[in-house]
Order: sequence, then structure tokens, then C-alpha cells
Amino acid sequence: MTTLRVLTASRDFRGWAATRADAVVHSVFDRSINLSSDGRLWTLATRDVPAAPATAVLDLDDAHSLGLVPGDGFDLARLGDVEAVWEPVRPTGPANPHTVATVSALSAHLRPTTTGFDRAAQIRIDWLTADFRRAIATHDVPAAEAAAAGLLGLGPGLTPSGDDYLAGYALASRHFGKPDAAELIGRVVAAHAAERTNEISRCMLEHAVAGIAAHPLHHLLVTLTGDDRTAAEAAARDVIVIGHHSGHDLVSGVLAALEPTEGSR
Amino acid sequence: MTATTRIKKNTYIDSVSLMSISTKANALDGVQQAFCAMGTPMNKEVLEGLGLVNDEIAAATPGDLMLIALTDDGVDAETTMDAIEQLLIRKPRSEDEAESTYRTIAQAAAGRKDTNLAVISVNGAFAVNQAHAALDAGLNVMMFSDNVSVDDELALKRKAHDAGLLMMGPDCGTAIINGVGLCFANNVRRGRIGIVGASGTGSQELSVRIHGFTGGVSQLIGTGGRDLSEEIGGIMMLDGIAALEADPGTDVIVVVSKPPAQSVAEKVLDALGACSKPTVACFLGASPELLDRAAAKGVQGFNRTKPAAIAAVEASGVDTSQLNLHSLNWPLIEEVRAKLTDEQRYIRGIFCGGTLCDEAMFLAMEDFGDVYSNLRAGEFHLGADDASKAHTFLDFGSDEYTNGKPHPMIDPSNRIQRFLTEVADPEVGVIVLDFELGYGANPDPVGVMLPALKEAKAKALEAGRHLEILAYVQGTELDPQGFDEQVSKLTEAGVTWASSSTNTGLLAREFVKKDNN
Amino acid sequence: MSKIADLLAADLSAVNVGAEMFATDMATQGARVTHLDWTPPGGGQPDVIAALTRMADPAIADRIEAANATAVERIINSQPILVGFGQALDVVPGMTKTTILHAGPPIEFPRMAGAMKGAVTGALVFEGLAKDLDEAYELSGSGEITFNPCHEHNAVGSMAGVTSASMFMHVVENRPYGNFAYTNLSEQLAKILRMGANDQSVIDRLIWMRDVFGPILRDAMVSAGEIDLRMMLAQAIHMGDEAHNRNNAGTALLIQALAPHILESDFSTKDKQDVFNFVASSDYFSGPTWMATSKAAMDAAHNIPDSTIVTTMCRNGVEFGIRVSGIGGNTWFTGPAQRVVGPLFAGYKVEDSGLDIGDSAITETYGIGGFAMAAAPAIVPLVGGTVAEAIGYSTTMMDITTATNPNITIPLLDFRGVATGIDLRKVEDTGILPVINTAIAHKDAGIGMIGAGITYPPLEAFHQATLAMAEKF
Repeated sequence: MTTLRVLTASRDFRGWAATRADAVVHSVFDRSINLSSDGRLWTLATRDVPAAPATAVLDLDDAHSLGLVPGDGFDLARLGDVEAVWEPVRPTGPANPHTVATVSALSAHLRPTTTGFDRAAQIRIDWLTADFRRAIATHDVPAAEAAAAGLLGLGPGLTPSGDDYLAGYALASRHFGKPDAAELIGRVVAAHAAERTNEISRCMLEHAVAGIAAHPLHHLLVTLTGDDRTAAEAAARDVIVIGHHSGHDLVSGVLAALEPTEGSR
Repeated sequence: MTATTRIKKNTYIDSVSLMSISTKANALDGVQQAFCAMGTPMNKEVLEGLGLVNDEIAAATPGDLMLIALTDDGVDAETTMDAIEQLLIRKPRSEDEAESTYRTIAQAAAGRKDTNLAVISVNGAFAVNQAHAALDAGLNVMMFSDNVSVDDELALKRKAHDAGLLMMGPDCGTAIINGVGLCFANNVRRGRIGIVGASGTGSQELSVRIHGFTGGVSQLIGTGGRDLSEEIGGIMMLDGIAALEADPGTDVIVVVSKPPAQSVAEKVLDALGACSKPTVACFLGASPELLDRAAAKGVQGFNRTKPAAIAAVEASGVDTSQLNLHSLNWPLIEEVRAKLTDEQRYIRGIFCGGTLCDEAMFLAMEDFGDVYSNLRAGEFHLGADDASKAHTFLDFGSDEYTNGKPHPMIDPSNRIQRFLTEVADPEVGVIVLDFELGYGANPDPVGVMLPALKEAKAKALEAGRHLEILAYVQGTELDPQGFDEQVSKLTEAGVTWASSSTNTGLLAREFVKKDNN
Repeated sequence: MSKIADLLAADLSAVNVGAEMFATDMATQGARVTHLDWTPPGGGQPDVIAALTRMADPAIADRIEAANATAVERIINSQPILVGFGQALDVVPGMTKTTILHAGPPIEFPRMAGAMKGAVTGALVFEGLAKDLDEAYELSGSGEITFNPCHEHNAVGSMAGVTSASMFMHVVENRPYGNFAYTNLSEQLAKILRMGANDQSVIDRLIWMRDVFGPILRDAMVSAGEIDLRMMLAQAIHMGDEAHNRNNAGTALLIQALAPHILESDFSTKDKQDVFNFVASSDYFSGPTWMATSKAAMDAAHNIPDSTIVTTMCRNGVEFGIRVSGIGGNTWFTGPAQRVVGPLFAGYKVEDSGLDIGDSAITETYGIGGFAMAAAPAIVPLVGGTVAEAIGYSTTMMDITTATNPNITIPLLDFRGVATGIDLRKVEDTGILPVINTAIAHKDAGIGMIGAGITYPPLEAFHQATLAMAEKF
């Protein structure tokens, strides 16, 4: 069997892959395969997928071409040496409010349309995110935890909207000097995520609480500190195209963490 | 309608595909609505809110994919579910599924050949050009935008008339075309009654009452409030009537408006009189003479909404003797009168819906001479900043209050402030409020006002008097906000609710009448 | 009544402009809805809206329509013919030994972008006006050098557009209208003067172009007489060029037409071989040719009173400038040059890229380049995006132009002509900006091209032009 080239991998992926012999296929998508191992998920992604935590980007066009289905075993010896280790870029200063405002306007403009179930869920998400922001702004920890727990697993999508929002919020909090908010989300995830959302979403949240997410999000955080609004808009668009709602919800979470005092809409 | 569920254990499908599956499932024959979502507890709660939880769904875990379809009666639900499951099977990626982005109406009309309507709600300064572009592209127009000049309106309506197109608006807040509610519209049953309305909440009121009296609406064509003025001459009202006369789905034609300019009223009544279908005209606050002229032309004329709705459903074949028509609740009136002091003799109506305000005001004017309003001209006119006087009826949806702010149906802050001012006035006997449900309205209109309602009740109690708050919830049980939920919030706060716009006006008027007059 | 009856008998399929919640609600109820990506006219600026309203007055609008019809007719009927090659000092009006022409709207040396400064100093060394780059830098700021936009001398210049006295120029005659247009020769490779590179290898190449390449082309054209560029351009577009960033077909056609005449010239076989090898080294050889073709057509439509047709779009790396027919002359309307978005060559980052630069947007002004993307699906990997987007660009541009050009057609669009005659008012009304395909130069002097992509003009330039235009009525 030919060796699969690993173009880039996250540091944790390389560490994991070096110490394990095999894993079980958890889920297969067009552009990625999730492997399950000791309650955590590790992702093999096609060439066009951006680097992300617990992810290896392979020299591959179509994830289905490996012929794997959920439940199959995967021999990690099939992976070649990691050719480059992905290091997420991190913002080194505070967010620039003007740049944030620009991205905020863009994000509002690009809000995906919702129908049916999504719309019913969206009404709840709007209320809960408003509650969450209000609670954070007034340091009402129990209320914030309740709102965050309410958002877990709420809404459409593989990673439900509420999870994406929390992940964006936790990530931005972690990188912009508000570790308390990230820790709070971390506590809620630790306490409830196992029952309230799916594994893929839970892993995303755990990484975000630790301050790591897919590369486009890191790039967005960095551009938010600068004054190049065009670059920030482009970075936000790169995030927004993730999934159907997911990218937009992630950006909403990031923006909410940067504007904690803005009232609910 | 049948709800069918299938749970796919541990099935992970990416979000974009889920969205597209959901869209395609909704388009299947016989499917009213279809949902695809992960089986998380919070998503199950959402479904519970929609009344869709069964044992299967209750047992779903966060890694499961839930498929739910609401199918028409007579459709084989299992076959439908099989079809939905087929959608889960991955197909090769295709480029042409990418949704095109359009920048102009002409582009969109050219890009999607089946486009037949443009809904325009941009600022009035830009809306006219958009409407011209839509008409030029052969599209019917629903123009929500206001602040459009009479000249522009006339030009648009003439152009539409010549092209055989609908030009609903400017300032048209509601319409229901082929069962789809546009802008502010209630979710009502489809049926055989067609409405042409020159007043937004008036049209909504008729549609809601018709639904309540077990009738149904075929089409609701809005014309915008100025259509029946001398200058516009009722161009769209007349075209609307003609369209409903020709529409095979319509058996009864109803028009609703404030009293039209006299020459226009003649034209409208002539057009109705010439129809082969039964016709009903509801001209709010109309003089007896106008109603007589209607009768003379074979048109049933009314100056209140509720009797007009009853006449319409009767004409469509409903046996109203079997219905609860909600006649006036006299024991309630006696009870409220007994609670009010002699000093508490005035009505204060603080409305979101213009026609609802009109109807309550006209009913008060039948019995009282001192009725003030921002909708009245001359000595009984009140400006936006004027304090209330005697009986006061304010339409918070009119321009002087909305200037720069969203409509109170969406942002109620101005209205709440005014409400709390009225509460403090010891001469006030009853405060009248309206709450609009339906598409476009606030997701929880009563809820946002609940703290103020409770505060008002508490204050009046402190001051040692009873404060009667009378509310009307304009909506149906099909509206997304949940009619029962809204009404129970009112009841919980000690608010009396009326069953129709007409009853609201009658109750308010009767509550404050004193036994000695 | 038939259309209303059709509506009531069909499924609702709506287009929504304004509040998005109305679209959402309709979709919830199962209707098909397109929500427009709409922006208010004039960017929502009250003074611009007032100007647009003024120009929408029927009497004024009629005058504008008539003038625009004339302008567009002149663009479409233009027949640019290549009649020769000659040195700038000899052929370009107003050229002197100490004049440097540059791309874009007017700009003084200190404010020039890095790439343009690099090109200017390199050109001064090439002309022998300075012994080295340091001296050239000093000379540039001394006031002894006259800096002028190419556009103000009937010329255009790609990228930095720096043109000095001894450089060889295309001479293009616009047959029906008698005007001429000029542009210098392609330097082919990436590390070139027009991209801001100026080391000895660049200067040496310019010297060879002056002493061998230019003269051979000049002699070849003496033998050839003339080449109908419009016809050749139309053919190149049918062969998959958009004639701004993709010139594979155009270059093959042009050198094919010149080859027999090059062979007949009196130069050595080695020189001729060098010329063919040089042309073969880059597909860009005909790029400047189409710029001069476009310039010839657009100048014919300039200075028509009342016309709101945009006759020039160009950038100097700092500012984007436009000129409008009805304002005429050398009145420029400018806004900040934009970043070009697109793939970069390996090893370069977005931060390395300079802002939009060059007169090459004259091609889009004429209706090719970004406007003809649908003709050149092969360009998509170079500038980023998808084939569907490429087609979308070409059709969307028809919303801001007055006509399509039947002389230059796109097979994929059923042989519709390219969008022609950008109308200032339509840009303002729709908020759709002309799309421009272009190369990306490094922001620092002396490095060169690092990628290619897509960009748009700044709306400010159009706002200023709209205000000035309304003043005329």
C-alpha cells in the first residue's frame, strides 16, 4: 500500500500519530476523515482544507478515494513523515476597534438565511447569546454558565450553531486577555458537552478553549489587531465560508468576545 | 398532516450538505416541512417547542441525525422518508448548485426565469427606481417602502396597470399571494375568500377573523394606503378586484379601507357591483350614506371589520350559526365598570396597528365627543409630543413616532414609555394595547412588554385604584409566535384580552361608560 | 390582466430587495426567494444621490443618453491599426529627452509607489541621464525631470508605465477617427523595469530592446505596412484570451503576422533568433499591443459633451484615477489604489504586494480584460475563483455598461459582444464596480511581479466624477 504524504500536521497530531499504531474511522466527509482514538478525534484532511488542531493535511483530492467507511480500522503506518508542522499564528496585541467594526458590519451583511427548524433554533440562539453576553458583561457567572450550557448542541449543522458561537467566543477570549471567559466555557464544555453535543463538535470546543482552532480563525484574530480592514474582511470571509452556518457563527462568537458590552439585538 | 421521524444512528454529514438536504427535502411533493438536525438535547427542545417530539426523537443522542417530515394527509409518509434518505447518499460535487448572487432586480429576473414578484423594502428614496426596474422586468411588485411621492406612486401604478402587473404599495405592509404571507402577514388558512386591502392591519384583521370563523383566504392583495385617494384614483384596488373576479381560486371578494375619496368610492362600488361573485366592502368609520350606496349596488357594506368578516365567511359557504362569534361579554363589562372610580373615565389607546387604532377610535367617537388622536386633523389632533387629553388614541406606527426608529411591532421601546406615562394618570379608566403576531413581527411581542404591564398593575394597586388594561392579540394559532402562549402571558399579568379588533373598541368604550350617563 | 393571473396561478418566486427578514419569512413558507446583494445608489451619500437625481431629470437624461450613444458608437466603430514602431522622442507628442511618462493619474516623484520609483530611476540610468541609481534618485527629485501621465500624451504604460525618450513604442492609428495611441514594448520576464526592477540586467535588456528588438520591429512594420488590431484582438478573444492577463493567443497571432517581415529585415540571423526567443519567453508580448488598441478606441470617445461614459481607468500605485468623456481634457477623479486579491507566486505573502498599478485597466475600460473573463476560463487558476465566477464577471459588467461591442464577441455567451461603455451613472446606481484583472507587483522597488489577481476601483473616484458631471447641467 502506498504511503500517504502528510503535507502539514498540527503538533498534537504528529505527537499522537508517532505513538499509536492504528485508530478507528469515526466519520467520512468529502474533504476529511475523522479517526477516533481514546475518546478524541483526529482528522485526516484533503489538500484544500486549512490546517487545524488535531489535523493532518494529506496530499489528497477526495477523502472518499481512500475507500474508508465508519468503523474501519486505519493503520497509521500508512501516513508518511509529517513534512511541515503547523504552528498557529497568534495575535500579539489588542484588537483594533475600527477593524473589528468593519468585520462586524460584513458579518451582519453575510448572515445566512434560515428556514424551518433553523429559524426556530435561531430565535433561541439569539436569546441565549444575548443572555450570555449580558451575563459576561455583568460578571454573572451562574447566568453565563447557564446560557453557555443552553447553547451547547443548539441549532443546525454538524457542529451546531451554538457550539460554533461558543468556540469563536472562547478562542477570541483566550487570545485577547479574557482567559476567565474561556475558562468558563471550558468548565461548561467539560461538564456538559459529552451529553449535549456530538464528538466532532466537542473536540472543536475543547481545542478552542485551549486557544487553538482552524488556521483561518487564527489569521482572522491577527488581522483584527491591525488596521488593514480589507485584509480583515478577507480573513473573515475565509472563516465564513466554513460549513453552512458554522463559519458565520464562529465569527459571531469572536466578535461578541471583542465587544462584551454591546447590548442584545 | 402527519409527522414522521427517522433517526440515523451515528451519522455525520457536513453542514453544507445538511442544509442542501433540508432544502431538497422541503421541496419534495407532499412535504409541508422537513427538518434535518443533529439529535442534541437543545435541538430536541426546539422540536418540542414545535410540538414534534415523539419517543424516537426523545431517544436520539447527539451523534444521531434526526430526519423529520411533516407530510400532507394521504401522502405515504414512509415513501417520503425513503426519498429523504436517498438525499443523504453522496453524489459527485457539482458546480451549478452554487447559488448565484444578484446585485440588481433586472439581473435576478434574467437569471431566474420563474421570478414573478419583487418585494421592495429599501429606503423610499431608492425604492421608486427599484420598483420601476421590477415592472420593466415584467415583475409584480410588493412595495413595503414608504416616503414615496404621490407623483411617483401614480407613475408606478399607471405603468403597472398598462403592463397588467400588480403594484402593491408604496407603504404596503401586508399581502398573501398564493398562500405565502409577504412582509407583515398572519399565517391563515388557504380558502376561497379574496381580499383587496388599502389598510395594512385592516387587511390582516380581516384575514385573521376569516381564519377564526373557519374561512380561508385565497389571495390578499395590498394596495398601499393612498390608493383610494383622489390623486391615485384606486388604480390598484380596481385592478385587484378584477384580478380576484378572474381568479378561479376565489369565490368571494372583500375590500377593506378607510372611507375612500367620494369619486373613488363610486368607482370601487361600481366595480364590486359588476362582479359575478359575492362582494363585501369594509370601509372603517364609513357614513350610513356610503353603506346605503353600497347596498344599492348589491355590495354588502360595513364600517367594522368583524361583521365584514362574518359576511365574507357566510358568503363562502360557512354556516356561522355553528360558530362562537364572540358576542360582547356584558358580565365582564359590568364587572369592570364596578371596579373603576368615577374619576376614571377615559380611554387611552396606544396602538402599533393603524387600522386597529382607527377602528377603536371610530367606535369611541360614536359615543363620545372628546376623542383625540394623532390620526385626526383639526382641533382633535394630537402631535407626537403632546400629552394625552380625554379619550386619546395614538398610532405609534405612524411616521411621527417611527421617524428613524423601527416600527413598534419590532421595537416597542417608545410605546412602552408612553404606556407607563398613561398609567400614572388617575383619570384613565382603560388602556388599550394591540399586539401583532405573524411574519415580520416581534418574536415575542407580549413578552417584551410584560415587565411594563406588571409594573403598571403594581403602581395602580399602590395608588389604590384598579387599572384596566385591555389588549388585543392579532394573530392565529398558526403564527410563529404561538397565539395561546401570547394570550396566556397577558392573562398571567392580569390583562383583559379581546377576541377581535371590533370587540376591542366596543369593550373599551363600554368599560368607561358610567351607569349614570 | 394576464400577468396578474399568471402570478396567481403559479408558485410564488420572489426577488427581495431590502430587509432580509422578509426573504427569510418567504423562504420559511416554501416560496423561492432571491435576496439581492443590494447597495444604495451613490453609496448612500446624500450629495451623490442628489447629483444622480439631477441627472435623472428626463430632459437631462435624454441629453446624456444621446451623448453616450455617440461615445459608444465611436468606441465600437474604432478601428485601431498598428502602423509602426518608433522611439518615444520621435513619435509621442510632447515628449522630450528629460520627460518621464508614468502610469496612472498625475503624481510627483516623492509620493510615487516603490515600484514606480524603481522604474523611474532605472529609466534615468538607461537614458544616460544619471550614472547610477543613487544619482538617478537625486535627479528625480531635483525638478529637472518632467513627470507626466502617459494618458496625457495619448499613451499608456503597463504597470509602472515608465516611458523614456529612447524607448520603442507601438504606433497605433485609429483609422476612422484619425487619432493615434502609443505604448512601449513588453519586457517579457518578471524582473523588469515596469515592475520596479532596475539592476544592470534590466538596464542591459532595455538597451538591447532599444538597439535590436525595437529597430527590427520597426523595419518589419515598414515591410508589413499595417496590421488590423481590432480583427486580431477579436480572434484572440475567440481563442481564449481576455487580453489583459492572458495573451497566449494574441501573442501567437501577432508574432505570426510579424515573422515574415522580421525575416526580411537586414539584421543578423543571431539578432532575429534573439527576437524570436525573446517573444517566445513570455506570452505577454502582445499585452501592451491590446492596451494601445484600447487606448486608441477610448480616446476617440473622450471629450463628448454630456457623456457619462468612463474613458480612462488607471492607477499609479498610490491612486486610482478615472476620466469621464463629458468632463473631458485632463481632469482626473481619484481615490486610493486598492489591493489586488489573487494567488501569489510561491514565497510571497499578501503583505509583500504593492497596491494596484498601471494603465492596463484601459483594457477593461474598452471591454476586454476582466470584462471578457468568460472568454478565458483558463485564466481562472491565475487570478483565483471559478469558471462560473469568470462568466459572472462578464455578464455582470453588462449592468454598468451602455452597450455590447459586436466586433468583439464571447463564444461561451452565445457570441454576445463584450460589455462596452462604462456609464458612471450605472456604476453609482447599482454599486457594481468595474472588475479588473491585473498583475501584482512587489511593494518594494527592484523586485518585480509576484502574482496576479482581481481588483476594483475605489468608489470615491466615481463619486467625485458624478458630482462634477452633475455640475455641468
